[in-house]
Amino acid sequence: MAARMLDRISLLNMRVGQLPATLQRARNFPSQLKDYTLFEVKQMLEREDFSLATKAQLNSVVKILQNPKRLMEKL
Amino acid sequence: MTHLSVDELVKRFEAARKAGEHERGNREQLRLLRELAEECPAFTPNLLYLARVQQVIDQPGRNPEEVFSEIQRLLELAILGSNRGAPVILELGNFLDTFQNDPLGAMKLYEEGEQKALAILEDAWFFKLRYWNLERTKESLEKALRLCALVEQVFPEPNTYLEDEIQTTKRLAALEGLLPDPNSSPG
Repeated sequence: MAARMLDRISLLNMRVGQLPATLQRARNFPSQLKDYTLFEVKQMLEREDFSLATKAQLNSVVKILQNPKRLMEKL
Repeated sequence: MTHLSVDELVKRFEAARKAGEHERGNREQLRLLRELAEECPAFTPNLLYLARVQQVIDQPGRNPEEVFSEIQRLLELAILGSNRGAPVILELGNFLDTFQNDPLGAMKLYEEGEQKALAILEDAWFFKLRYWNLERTKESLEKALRLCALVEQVFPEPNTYLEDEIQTTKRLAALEGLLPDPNSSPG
């Protein structure tokens, strides 16, 4: 139970900037959000706060941030 | 050149995975994985691994668009080679969704992967129920009854052989006194 919670906290603390640099250089990568955590990005979406990025960009960041952790478990 | 045997393929794949033990996706590991992918593009576990690992590592000097197109090509090959296996279908769906801005294409793949996974789950549950029915002890039938409840939630219309096994569990459980006798009540 505690371990699962810690795991979830570490996921929510992921930042865009922690993604491999190669992938960050891709077109359309939302680099203005690189210092924000998954938790913060999700909060922006929930509050419909699109002052820093569009809804599409925020959605994209959520997917990008969830990706590495899921993949690491499969490697 | 003769084709690698399955044993050799698995050994080479294991060696390539081991090469990333200390640093996942290092140059040597990528070289081994790519060599194997070229020699045997039909061996899908290697293609899937190579596609996954490149989404979590840095490759200085490489253009990201080139990395993305390599990942997509690997996943598409793996779909062909696996005769559209669920894990690869879902992996390509997620890749299109996350990196290629194609959520509609991704959703189609999620649905296809889901259908394949459910068919596998139906088989797994059929085999387990059959096992417990044949064991036919109080404990095994109790386990089977719990699984039947779950099956009915997930598959309101299970396939014929699963449905038959559920009915068998219920008959045996009634005989064991674990369920009211279905023949003793009018409903």
